Amino acid sequence: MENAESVFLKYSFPCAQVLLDKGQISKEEYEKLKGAAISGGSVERETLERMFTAAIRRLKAVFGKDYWTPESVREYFISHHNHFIDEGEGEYARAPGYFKRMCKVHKAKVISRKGNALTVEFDGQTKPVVGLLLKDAKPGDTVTVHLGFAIEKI
Amino acid sequence: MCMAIPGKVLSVSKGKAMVEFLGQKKEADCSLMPCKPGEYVVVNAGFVVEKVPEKEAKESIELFKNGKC
Repeated sequence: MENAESVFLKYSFPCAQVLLDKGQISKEEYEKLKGAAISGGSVERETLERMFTAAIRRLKAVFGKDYWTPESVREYFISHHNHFIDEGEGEYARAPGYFKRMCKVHKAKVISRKGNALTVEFDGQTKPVVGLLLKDAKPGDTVTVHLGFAIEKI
Repeated sequence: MCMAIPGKVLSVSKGKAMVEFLGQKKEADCSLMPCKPGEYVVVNAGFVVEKVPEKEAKESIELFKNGKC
C-alpha cells in the first residue's frame, strides 16, 4: 500500500549510494533501503528522516506541518526539488554541474526496455536508466527519473 | 553532504567495468551505459549511470579530497 514512507523511499533511494560512499550510512543500512525500494516496500519514517536530512528539510520548507503525506512527498520531488538545486540551496551551492544535472528529477518517456535497463527520453535526449525500481514500465509510459534510476509511472 | 564521487574506468570486459574511486577498485555493470578505459563515471547501486567530463570529474575529486564537498 502506498504511504508517505514508500513514496519518499523510491525517490530518495538513488541518493543512498552517495550517503554510503560518504560513510554516512552503513552497508547494512544501505542494503535494507535497497531491498525495500526494489520490492516496492518502505522503511520506518524515523530512519528516512535521520538519513535524508536535506530532503526532509526542503520538504518541510515547502509543505510545513503537512509534509508527510504521499501527495506532498510526490509533489515535492516532481515540482519543487529541481528548484532547490537551481537556487543552490544547502550543499547544492558547492555541487559540481554534472551532479546537479543528475540530482534533478525528470519526467521521461520510456522508449525501450531490455532486462533492468530502460532507455528513456527527456529534454530531447535519450538516456539509459536503471529499471530495478520499476519492473512493469513499458515503452510509451511516462516515468520520473532520478540519479540514473526510473522511479515511478506518472 | 550530497555528491556522487566519479571514478576512473580502468578496464572493461563483458559488460563489467573495473572502476577506481579514490584508490579503491570496484566492479560495476556497464551494459546500460557502455564506457571505455580512461573515462570518468558515476556508479549507482552497481550500475554505471553517468559519464562525467574529465575536467569536471578531476575538479570534483579534488573538492572531495580537500573535504569541501
